Amino acid sequence: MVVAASKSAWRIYRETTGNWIIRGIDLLREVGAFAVITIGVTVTKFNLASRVVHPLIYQQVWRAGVRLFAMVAFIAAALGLVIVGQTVSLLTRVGAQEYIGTVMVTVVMRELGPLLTALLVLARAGTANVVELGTARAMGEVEVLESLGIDSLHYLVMPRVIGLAVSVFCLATYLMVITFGCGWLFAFVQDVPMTLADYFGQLGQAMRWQDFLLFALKTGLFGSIIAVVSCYHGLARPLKVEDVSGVTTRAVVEAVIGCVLLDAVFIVAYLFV
Amino acid sequence: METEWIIELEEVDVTHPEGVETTLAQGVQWRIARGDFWVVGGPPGAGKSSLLATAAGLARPRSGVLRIFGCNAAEATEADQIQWRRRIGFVFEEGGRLFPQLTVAENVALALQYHTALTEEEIAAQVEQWLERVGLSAHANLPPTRLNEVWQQRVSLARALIMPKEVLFVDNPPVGRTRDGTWWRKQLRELAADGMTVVVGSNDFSLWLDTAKQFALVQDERFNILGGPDQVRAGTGAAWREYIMVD
Repeated sequence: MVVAASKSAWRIYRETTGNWIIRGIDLLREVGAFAVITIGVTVTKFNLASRVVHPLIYQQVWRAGVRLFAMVAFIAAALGLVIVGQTVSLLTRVGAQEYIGTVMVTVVMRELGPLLTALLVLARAGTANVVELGTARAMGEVEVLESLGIDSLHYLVMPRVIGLAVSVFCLATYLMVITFGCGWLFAFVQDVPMTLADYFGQLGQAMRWQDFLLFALKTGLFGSIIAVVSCYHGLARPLKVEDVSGVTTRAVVEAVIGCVLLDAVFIVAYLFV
Repeated sequence: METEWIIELEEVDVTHPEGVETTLAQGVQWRIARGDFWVVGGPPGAGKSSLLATAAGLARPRSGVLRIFGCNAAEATEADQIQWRRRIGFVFEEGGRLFPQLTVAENVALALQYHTALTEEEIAAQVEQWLERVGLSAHANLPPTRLNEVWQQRVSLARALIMPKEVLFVDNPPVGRTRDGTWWRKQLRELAADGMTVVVGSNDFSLWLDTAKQFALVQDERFNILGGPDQVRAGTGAAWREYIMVD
């Protein structure tokens, strides 16, 4: 009886968790291969047909970056007023104002800024990518590009990867600056005894050059992960129009998991800098 | 003079280009020589479009050997593929699959912009010339979705031919004794007269009898070469009559 139950439990484990792990590994391998091919295309063909492809990069920066600026500014202002301002106020009240810079850099620059920006870009541009590319694939446009001798990765994927990487970096920078600014504004309104020069002086002291390097690397990689995962789901498999919505949901979940895993890697990296 | 085979299929099994595991045609033996004018017919869904895409190198055959300009497709490098794709034009069915985010002129110009170093003025002149030829220069700046499918397929012809091509595949051009059907037959006849190798997928052989040189039929997972117009006229059988509509 016990043996039978044990066997049954093992079977259920194998068929659920085991399959899930195997599917996860397969997916990681496929997306990884897609990413490697995309990197190869980006390196070898960046300047090929630049008058066709470079405007597509600018278009992606416009769509994923510039058009998202207002929303990022709004979120940054809210973040600054609600969280940063209160933190500054609290730290000052308990006499720990010398840690303001460290806390802000750790929370906003290293963690919240990049991740929040990545999630916003994923919601706005990543989902649009899957829908656009999935529809293009379903409508046979990829085949058309091939018939014209145009590499679909070069024409469709490379501009999105570069565009999203640049966009997440720029938006995260804006988000950080606006958050810090609004944070001080809230503290000022609450009569926290700290001048603007002291506040930004502390922030400046808490930032090291490694922070800027890792910030740029992290945000760029977040953008690239969102682009690669969304393009992979849009393009890598034959799709019917009715499949596109389901694929979009999967892409969002996987891009979030990818960004969080990368974030964990960076947390470890920060321990060594 | 020795025949120059530019596309050869040996024992090729054709599947859907998007990888659906159903075999549409088995054991296809087909050789296309320079200057040929083929019409491939068959009932809807028999696999004409997939066969044309496979022969044009846009889809991998499930098995067998496909040679394009003497190059085995299974062993072709990316450079080989780009090289043959620049020599083969393909006009897709159902509106030619134009890019909806580009205008008509931008659709036609895309290959030139991508592959050549011509100036924008030179490209615009060529686009204008091709749109003139397909009778749509007045619609150059419209999105393709504003045109009907028949006109979209004309744009697709201009897009396929704006760079010099040696072979042209046309999948299901408008047929019938309409103005559009006549226009397409005239265009393809002129292209063939200029030395272009033409392969047309069509449900109606009767309209091509005075134009095409060779006819083939895809039916029941089989690819059968019927021969020239005379053999098609002499053909018999219910399926033949039903699907091919020979007068």
